[in-house]
Amino acid sequence: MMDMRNNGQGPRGPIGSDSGRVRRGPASRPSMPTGRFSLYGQTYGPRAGENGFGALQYEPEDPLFDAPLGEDEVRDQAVPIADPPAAGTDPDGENTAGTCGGDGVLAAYPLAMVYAPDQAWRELYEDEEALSEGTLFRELNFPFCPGCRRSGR
Amino acid sequence: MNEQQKLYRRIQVCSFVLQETALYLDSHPFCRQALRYYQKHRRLREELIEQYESRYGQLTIYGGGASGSWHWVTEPFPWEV
Repeated sequence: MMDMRNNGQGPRGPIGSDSGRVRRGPASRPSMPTGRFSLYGQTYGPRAGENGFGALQYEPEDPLFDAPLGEDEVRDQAVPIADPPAAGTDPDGENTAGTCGGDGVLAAYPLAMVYAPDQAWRELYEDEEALSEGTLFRELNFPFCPGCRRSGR
Repeated sequence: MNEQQKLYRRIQVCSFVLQETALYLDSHPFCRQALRYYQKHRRLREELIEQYESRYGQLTIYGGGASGSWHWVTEPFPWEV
């Protein structure tokens, strides 16, 4: 685990921290991506309500998730930059909004890091359906198949 | 699908669910719901394999020999049924 203990002295203090301790919590969590993306003018991925994405705000009942932290204990977390530089204007003052990057749903996060949302034990398929869909978890069923009309259920 | 094929299919289904649950448990080793699910399907799979092997012979090389002959090579392989 990455040790993020720096007594809050870092160039950007972790959002949601109190008295130097890093806490996970709703205040520090960004809104979740929808799983939809656009490529060459076509939009792919599950629509709202499909594939269990409507349930993503659900807080898992994970004893480790909400366990109280000990003295001086810290938890790994993705730490958004408190005040990311605004996208949309280049050094020459030209408007680049929407065309030159830097303004996606993860704009507040450091570049070049990789994040994977924590999966929860929910939205299981029945056994037979799991094998035919190729996954036990509805939330992991992404039929990336442009033009296909499969619902992902 | 005959009875033997149906039973073989149920074993495949159950094995897949177990595999998926194991992958989940790799990243959530203390999730009690997943652990219960794993135990339930592990027992079910054992029962299904026992049923299969007592009726149709060996499913793997680890499940035979009790009947007095080596069914693994004298009967069709499970995937040929």
